[in-house]
Amino acid sequence: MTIQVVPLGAGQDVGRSCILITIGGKNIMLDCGMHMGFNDERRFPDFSYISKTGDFTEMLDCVIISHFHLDHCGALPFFTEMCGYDGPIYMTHPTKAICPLLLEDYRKISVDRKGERNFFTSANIKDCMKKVIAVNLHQSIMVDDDLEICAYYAGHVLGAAMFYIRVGEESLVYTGDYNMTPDRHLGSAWIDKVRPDVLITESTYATTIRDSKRSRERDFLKKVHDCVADGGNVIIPVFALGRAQELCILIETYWERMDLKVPIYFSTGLTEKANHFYRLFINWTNEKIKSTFVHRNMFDFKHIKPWERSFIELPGPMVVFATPGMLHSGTSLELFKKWAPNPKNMIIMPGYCVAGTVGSKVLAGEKKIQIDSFTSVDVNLQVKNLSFSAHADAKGIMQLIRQCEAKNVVLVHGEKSSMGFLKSRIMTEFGIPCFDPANGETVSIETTHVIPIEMSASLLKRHLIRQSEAQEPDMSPPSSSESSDDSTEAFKKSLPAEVRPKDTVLIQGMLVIDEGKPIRFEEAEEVLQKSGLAKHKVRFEVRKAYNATALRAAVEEADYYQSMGPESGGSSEWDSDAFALDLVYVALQSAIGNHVALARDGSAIAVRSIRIRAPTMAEEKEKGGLLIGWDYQDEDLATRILSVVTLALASTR
Amino acid sequence: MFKLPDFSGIDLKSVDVVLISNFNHMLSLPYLTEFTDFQGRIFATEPTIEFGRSGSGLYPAYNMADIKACIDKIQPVRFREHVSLYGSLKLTAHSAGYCLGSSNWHIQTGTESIAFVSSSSIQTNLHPDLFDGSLLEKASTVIAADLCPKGATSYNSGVNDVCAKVAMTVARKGHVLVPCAISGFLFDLMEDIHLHLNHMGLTHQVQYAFISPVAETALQYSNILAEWMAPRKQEMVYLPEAPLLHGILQEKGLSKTYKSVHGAFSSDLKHPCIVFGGHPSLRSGPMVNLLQMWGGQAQNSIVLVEPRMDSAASLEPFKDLEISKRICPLDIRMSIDQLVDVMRKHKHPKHVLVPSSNTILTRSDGTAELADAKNTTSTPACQWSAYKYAEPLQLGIGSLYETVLLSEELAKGIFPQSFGTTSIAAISGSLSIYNNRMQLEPASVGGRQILALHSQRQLCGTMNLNTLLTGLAMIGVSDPVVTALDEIKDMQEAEIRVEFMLEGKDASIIMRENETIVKCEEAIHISSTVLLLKTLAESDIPPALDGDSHRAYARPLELDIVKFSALVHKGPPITLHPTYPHTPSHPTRFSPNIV
Repeated sequence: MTIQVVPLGAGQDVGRSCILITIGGKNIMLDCGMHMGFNDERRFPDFSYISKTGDFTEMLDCVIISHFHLDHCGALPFFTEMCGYDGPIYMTHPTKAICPLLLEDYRKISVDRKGERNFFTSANIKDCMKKVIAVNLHQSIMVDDDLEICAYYAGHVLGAAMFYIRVGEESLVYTGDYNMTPDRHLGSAWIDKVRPDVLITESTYATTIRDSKRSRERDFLKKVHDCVADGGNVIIPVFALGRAQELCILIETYWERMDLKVPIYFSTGLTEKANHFYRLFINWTNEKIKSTFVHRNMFDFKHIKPWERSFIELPGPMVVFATPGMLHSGTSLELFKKWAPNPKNMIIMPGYCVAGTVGSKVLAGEKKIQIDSFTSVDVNLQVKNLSFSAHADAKGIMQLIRQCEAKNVVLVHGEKSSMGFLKSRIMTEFGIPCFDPANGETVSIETTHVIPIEMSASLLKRHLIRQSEAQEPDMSPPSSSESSDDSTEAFKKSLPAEVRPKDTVLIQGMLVIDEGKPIRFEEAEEVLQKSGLAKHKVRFEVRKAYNATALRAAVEEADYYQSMGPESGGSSEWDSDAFALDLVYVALQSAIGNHVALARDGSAIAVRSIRIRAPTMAEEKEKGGLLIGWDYQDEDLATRILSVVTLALASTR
Repeated sequence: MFKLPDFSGIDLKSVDVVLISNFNHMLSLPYLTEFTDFQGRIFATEPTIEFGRSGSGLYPAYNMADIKACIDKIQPVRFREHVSLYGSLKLTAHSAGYCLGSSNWHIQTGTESIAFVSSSSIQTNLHPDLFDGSLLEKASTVIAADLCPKGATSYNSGVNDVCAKVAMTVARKGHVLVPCAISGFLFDLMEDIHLHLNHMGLTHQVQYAFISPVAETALQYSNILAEWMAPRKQEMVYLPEAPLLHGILQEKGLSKTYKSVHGAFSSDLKHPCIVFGGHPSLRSGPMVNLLQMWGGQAQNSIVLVEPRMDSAASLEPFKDLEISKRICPLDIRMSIDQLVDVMRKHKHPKHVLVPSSNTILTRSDGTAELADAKNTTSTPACQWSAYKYAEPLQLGIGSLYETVLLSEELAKGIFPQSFGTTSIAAISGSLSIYNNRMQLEPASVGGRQILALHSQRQLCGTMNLNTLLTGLAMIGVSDPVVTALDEIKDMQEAEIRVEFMLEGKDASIIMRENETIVKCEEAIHISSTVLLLKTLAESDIPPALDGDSHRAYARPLELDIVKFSALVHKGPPITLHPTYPHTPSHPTRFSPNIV
C-alpha cells in the first residue's frame, strides 16, 4: 500500500498551504491557502494539477482546513465558488466562525483598495462557508464508509487543529500550524499516540530553539516601555486574531502593574467582534482563562482603546497594534510609512513575514524600502524582531513526532535550508524516513499493511491462561522503538514478572477464510469439527536403542567412588531400563518441566499422549532399548522429547 | 431528599469503568470515589463534569475537597470520541439530546456491543445537540433507563400552558415563581416565555431573576457550549451572538442572577418578576422565602414544571396561601414508544432491557411484555426483558471475537488450503497487545520452541495402500510384506500390515480405518513420518482400504506449516488481501511532477 503526498503550496516554502494526499484510494486536500507575497496567479495554489477539466468534486473526497490564517484558508472561496468544488469541507467551529471575517477583510483590501477584478465576492464567501461542516475536537467523523477524520488541539490560534486521517489501517496526521508550549491565552498542542504512517508537520521554526517564554516576554515589554518612555511611538503589526490577543493580554497586565498611562490602540474594527468570538469560544483557550472567565473575562481590556484614523496626527507617545501583520497593506503600512523615518520610533515584528512583503524587507534590515512604484520610505526607526509567533520550534516538532510515534515524516511550511537541517536530525534521532518535497513533487510512502481478522476470545483466553501458568520468560523483543525516557516502560520492567502485564502472547490456531465473511482465527480443533473433515489418527511406536553396558559401567564407576558400599553393583539383578528411565525423567524435567506436566509411574513416563516405557514382553526386551510412543498430534513435543532422550542416554557413555 | 444508591450487592473494587450520562446522574459519585474502595475509571462529557462540579456543591453531604477530588478523577470525552480501554473495550459517548453534554453510551467488546440509553430526548426544538441514534445501529443489546412514563405531558404540549399562565400573571402585575434547577430545559422554557411575552407586548415591564448559588456560573458556562448545542443554536455563534437567549438578556440588563433572595434582589425589584431557581420540593432555599413574601397576594403565581417531583405534595404546606398555583410538568424524556420507533430505523438488537416500571408482566422465560408500547412483544430475534432493582440479569452474549491485525510478514508465510468455499490455514505467532491494538506477528525463535511444546497437529484424510507402496518404492524399499487381516475372521478391526526394511532397520505400518500405527526404530522415524504424510497428501485415488469410494476425499492439514508446507502444499503461496473494500474511488491518481 502506498500513501502519496504532493504539496501544491507550502512545499519548501511558507504561504498558500495546500497539500494533496492519496491514502487508501482516497484523495484529500489539506488546507487551501493563499500566498501573501504575490498579487498574481501565484497567489493561489495551482489547482489545475488536480484536474485539467475542473471536476474537483469528482477527484477529491474532502477538503480539511486546519485553522483560519489566510495562508491556510485564503483560497477556499476561490476553489469552491470559482473553481466549482462542491464536496465536503471540514474545519473546527471557531475556524468556521472567524475564517469568513478574515476572508472578507482580505477581499476588501484586494478589491476595494487595490481595485482588483475577478476576485471572489462577499456572497462567494458566504456560500462557501455554507458548505463547511464544523467538527469538534476528538470527535471521530466518518466522511464515508472508509474514511475517518479526527481533530486534535493544536494551540497556535483559536480553533487551530491537527487532523488525524485514517482509511482502513493506514493513517496520516496533518498538523497545520501548531505550538507545543502553552501561552497566555492558548494551551499547547496535544495528540494521542495514534502511530500514523505519515506525519505531515509544519517546520516554520525548524532551526530555532527559542529561549524561555518568560525572558521573551520580559524582553518584549522592556523594549516597548523604553521606547514610550523616550517619547517614541511603537507600532506592532499583527493580525486581528491570534497573536494580537496574546500580546494584548501581556501588555494589558504590564500596564496595569506598572500603572502606565501611555495610550494603547488597536487598529481594526474587527477587535470588538474578535474579542466576542474569544468569549464565546473560551473552551478553546487555556485552562486559566477558562476557569476564571465567569468572574473576569480576559478579553475585556481596560487599557486598550480602538484606533481612529485621526490619531495618526497625535504627537505620541503611543502603542498601536496595527493590522495586517506583514505590513503589506492597511493601517499597519500607513503607520509604518508615517513613522519609519523617525529613529525614536520602534517597530516590533512579532510574527513571521512572507518573502516579498514590506514586513520581510523590514526584517531583512533594508534601509530604503520601495513600497510601490510611486513611494519609497527611509527606514530609520528601530526594528525589533520578536519571535512570538506560535509555531513549534525544533524541540517542539521533535516532541510531537515522539508523542504520536510517526513512522514517516513529511516537512512542509518552512524554508528549504532549515528543513534540510531538521530532516537529518529527525532521521538520525528517530531512525525514520523524512521528506521535504517541493511544490508539485510527489512523495510516495510504502506502508506495511496489516490484515484485520477476528480472533476467537476463547482462543486468546486459553493461551493467556497457559502463558501465565507456565511463567514463561517474556518473549517480547527488547523494545527498541521505545524512547528511553518512557517512564512507564521502565516502571513495567521493574515489576516482578507475575504482576507485569503481558504485552505479548504466544498463540496458535487455525485461520478460516470464508468468502464474503471476515477472516476468523479459531481453535484448530473446533474448525475441524465444524468443517466435517475426516480426522486421521496416527500413532508412532519407536524403539530407542541405547548402550546398556556403557550405561551400567558409568553407573558402577560413579557408585564406586561415591559409596564404596559392598552391595553396590553387586550380583543382584540390575535393571538398566529402570535406570535409563530415571535418567530420562530427570533430563526431561529440567528441559521442559516448566512448560508441560510430566507424570511418572513405575515403568513409564507420560506426557500428554507420549509414553516412554521399558519393554515388558520378552520379545521386546530381547531387542533392548526404551519404547517411545505418541500420537501424531503431539509430534512437535515428541520430537523435542526424543532429542532430550538421545542426549540423556548418550551422556552416560 | 438525598439518598445514596445501595451498593451493598456489588464488589466496588471489581468495577472497572463508570459511565456518566448527564450531570443529574452523578450525585453519588463523590461517595463512590472518596468513601469506597472503587478504583476504576470514570468517563463523562466535559459539560457533564462542569455542571456536575457546581451541582454537587449544592448538597451538604460532601465538602468541597471531596467534590474536587472526585471531579478530578473523571476523564472528559466528547461525543463520538473513541475511548479504548484494556485492549478490547471501546467506549463512545453519543448525544442524548436531553441537556448540555447528556450522553448515551456505546460499549463495544470484540464483536458484541451494548447501547446504554439513559435520559434522552428526541425533541428537535430544544437547545442541546440532537439525539444521535447511530449508537443503535450496531448494538446487539440495548439497555434503556429513565424513560418517560405513560401519560406524561410532553414539553411541546405543556409549554404553551406555562407561557399563558406567566403572561396572565405579568399582565396583572404579579410575580411568577418557577422552582427549578438552573439547567436543562429551563434554558428553552425561559426563551419560550420571553418570546411569548414579547408577542403579547409585555416584555418592557418584566424582569427575570435566577436565584441560586450557582446561577451565575451555570448561565455563563452554558453559553460557551455552542459546540454541544443543536445546529440552530450553533449557528448563533457565527454571528457572533450568545447562543442561549439568557446571555443576550443578561447583557441588556433584563435578567439578573442572585446568590440568594437576601441583598440586591429586593432593591432591584421594579417590575413584575419571573423568578427561576430554588428547589422544586419547596422545602428549602429561596422559594420558601419568596412564598412567604409573595404567597399572600392572589395576583402572583407559582408554576411547577419539574416532572420527576410529586408537585401536589410539594405544594401541600402552602395550600392556604392566596397565590395562584399551577402544576404543569414538562417532560422532554423519550418514551418507550419513541424508543421503539427509533429502533425500527436501525438493525434490531437481540436484547432490549427496560426498567420494570415500563413493563406489565414478566414471563417465566425472562421475556417481558411492555406496558405502553404499541404491539411490541418479544420475538426470537429481539427479546424484551425488564430489569429490577438489585436483581442481576444475565445477558446471553454469543461467542466473542476480538479484532486482531495480522502482520504482513506473518501473512506471507500462510498457505491456506481450500475446501469448497472455505479455506483454512494453521498459523502460529506472537500476539502483541499494545496501545489497545492487537497484532499477530511471527514468533521469535525462542517463542517458536515454546509453541512447539504445546502445538497439537491435526491430520485429515485417509491412508491409501497403493500410494504408500509407491512412496516406499520411491525411497528405495524393495519388497515390503503386506498382510491383510480381515475383520470377521480375527475378531478385531480390519487392518493392513506393511512390514519393510528402511535404512537397514525393521519397520512396520499398520493401517486401520481411522488410525495408522507406525512402529520403527527411533533412527528412522523421521523418514517414515515424511513418507506417511506424503501418502496422506497424495492419495488421489479413492482409498482402497475402506472400499467406501464415495467418501469425501480430503487432504491432510498441517499445523506446523514452517516445516512441512513445501511438502504438503502443491501450488504457489497464496497471499491474503485486506478485507476492507477500497477499490479506489477515483479512476486516476494525481500524476506527479507537472508543475
